[in-house]
Amino acid sequence: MRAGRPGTGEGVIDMDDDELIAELRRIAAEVDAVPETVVSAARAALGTRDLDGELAVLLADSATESDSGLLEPVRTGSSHGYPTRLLTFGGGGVQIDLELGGRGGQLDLLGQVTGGAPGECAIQHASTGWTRVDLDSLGRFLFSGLAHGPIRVRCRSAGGIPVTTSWVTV
Amino acid sequence: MAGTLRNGAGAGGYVDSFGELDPGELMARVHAGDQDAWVGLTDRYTGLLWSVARAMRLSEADAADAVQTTWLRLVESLDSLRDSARVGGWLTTTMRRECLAVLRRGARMRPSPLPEWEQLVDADDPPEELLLRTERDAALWRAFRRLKPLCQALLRVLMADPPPSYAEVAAALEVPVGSIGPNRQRCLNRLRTILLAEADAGRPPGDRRGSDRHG
Repeated sequence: MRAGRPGTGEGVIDMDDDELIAELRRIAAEVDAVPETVVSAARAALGTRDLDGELAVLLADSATESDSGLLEPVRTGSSHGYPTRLLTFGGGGVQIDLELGGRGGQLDLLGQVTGGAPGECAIQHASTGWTRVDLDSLGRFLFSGLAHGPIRVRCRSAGGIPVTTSWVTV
Repeated sequence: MAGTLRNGAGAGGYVDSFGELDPGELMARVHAGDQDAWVGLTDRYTGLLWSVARAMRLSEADAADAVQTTWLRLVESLDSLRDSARVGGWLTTTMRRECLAVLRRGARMRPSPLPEWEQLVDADDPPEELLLRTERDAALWRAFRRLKPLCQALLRVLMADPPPSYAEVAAALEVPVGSIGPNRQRCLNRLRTILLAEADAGRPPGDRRGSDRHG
């Protein structure tokens, strides 16, 4: 029965385990192949290396953790009644809070830097690159029309050291 | 950076000269600034990371973001990664966490109270059988899709190209390495049972394993 007939599972049934996995691997490559954009994004990721300064790690994420009391909205109320996600990063003497809201394909990002230098921060979207944002006197910034995907934020500490958040998918 | 991209090569077609190197050697070269080694590393593991995301039933868009984020995290952690030889385990563990975060976020961020991410995933996916050229392949894939979720997840990760080590599969699924072999065998036997039942169901009575599918 080694030679199976089209239209039946025979032939496949008589394969050993390794052969069967190899068959499934071949089919997966047809019906669920890795998109070319995923391959090129992986290769391009090395270009994000070698930033100087400190890393601000993710301390809290309202979307993945139960309420810890650590998170408070930068401003009260969610935008347009849609769920708001709150993220807190810390490191290098700086705390960076992000509030993400919005709907559909784009997000609004409201941020606040505590312990940072006055001036500006920059937001890096993995696909579209860096955008500078101005801080107000309270260290807040607003970025509208952010696309979904991995982002990080880079600000400067009061001591002048650049602090970059770890990547987060929004 | 864009100049180092080799367009057209799939995840399975990684640069031959780097295909021979073990992950530790690749990482040593990446540390030394060798961008071709990075391409070799990503081509070796991107297929596995994609398989992990799809095994965990992420949509294509969420899977793409999670794979990209995992690679960005590796770049972010290059200087602090202690055991470069185990980069495969680090990547699959990180990938699993990203996928779990996506699933939890999906459950929290959607206004609908229904836990229907699975349904959303299915709506996103093209009808897979239509993409397959032969009925034999379609029957095999259909049978795979009828396996219980844990078997589907295990086999989907094992299908990664290039094939993953059992240690990487174990990290991806957060199960003991020793469970991979026995469960692989059990799930493949279950797959054969489904295939046989389906083949028999398509034939006239008394004519098992003997004729073409009825109709």
